Amino acid sequence: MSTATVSGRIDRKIDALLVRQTLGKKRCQIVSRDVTEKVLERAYPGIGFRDGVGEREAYLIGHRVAVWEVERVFRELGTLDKTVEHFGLPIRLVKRAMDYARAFPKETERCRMAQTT
Amino acid sequence: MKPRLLGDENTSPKLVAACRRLHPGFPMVHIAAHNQDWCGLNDDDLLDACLAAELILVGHDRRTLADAATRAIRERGGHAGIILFRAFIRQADFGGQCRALCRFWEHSREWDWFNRMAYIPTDVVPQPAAR
Repeated sequence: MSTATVSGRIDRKIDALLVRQTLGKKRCQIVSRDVTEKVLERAYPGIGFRDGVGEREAYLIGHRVAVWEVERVFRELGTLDKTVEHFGLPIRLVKRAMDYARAFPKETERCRMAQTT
Repeated sequence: MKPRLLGDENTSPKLVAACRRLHPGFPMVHIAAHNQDWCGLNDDDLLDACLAAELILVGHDRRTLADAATRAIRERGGHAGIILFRAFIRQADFGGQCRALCRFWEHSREWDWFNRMAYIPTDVVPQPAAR
């Protein structure tokens, strides 16, 4: 993965909070993760991130369903309509999950493998 | 009949309907039908809510729910029971899930489910006699 270096300044109060949240990790790792996830959440409204098995996983905000689960059911059933019917979720959320899964297939596959093997 | 099983959000609401077709009055409810607010809960909070409501959680998240169950037992008041589908049962195969769940429930409904976790389908192991 190619990366870019970005520097910025944050309020000292926020920095103190950040230090408490790092739990043994480096601050820069947490900042990098948080920025990445926030950028993705803006790009894919309705998608959020949570702790998964060993790493963070994308999921549907307000629901307990992970993106990899939507993608797996879509693969099993073959159509968007059937996937929507399976979960009983709004179609826009299922579409958004599939958009994300298509944009990040390796990450989605990694999360699926971690949970199912 | 008071429900005893709660289908997690990654199970299909069709699973509940299929179980009731096979066994009318099957004591299961889907999370979205039971309480829409529970759909946004994380694993820890959902297990606590299930414990308070005496509901056994039925789902697919074998790894994360197993970890959450351990935390519930070690750090909080335990959990009300969890039934998880094995990996070879496809997530969209609610017919297979329905048969496995109904068959398993016939033998396990009288068990003490507090802090118990089961993977289905499984060979049914009789509950050890109380000492």
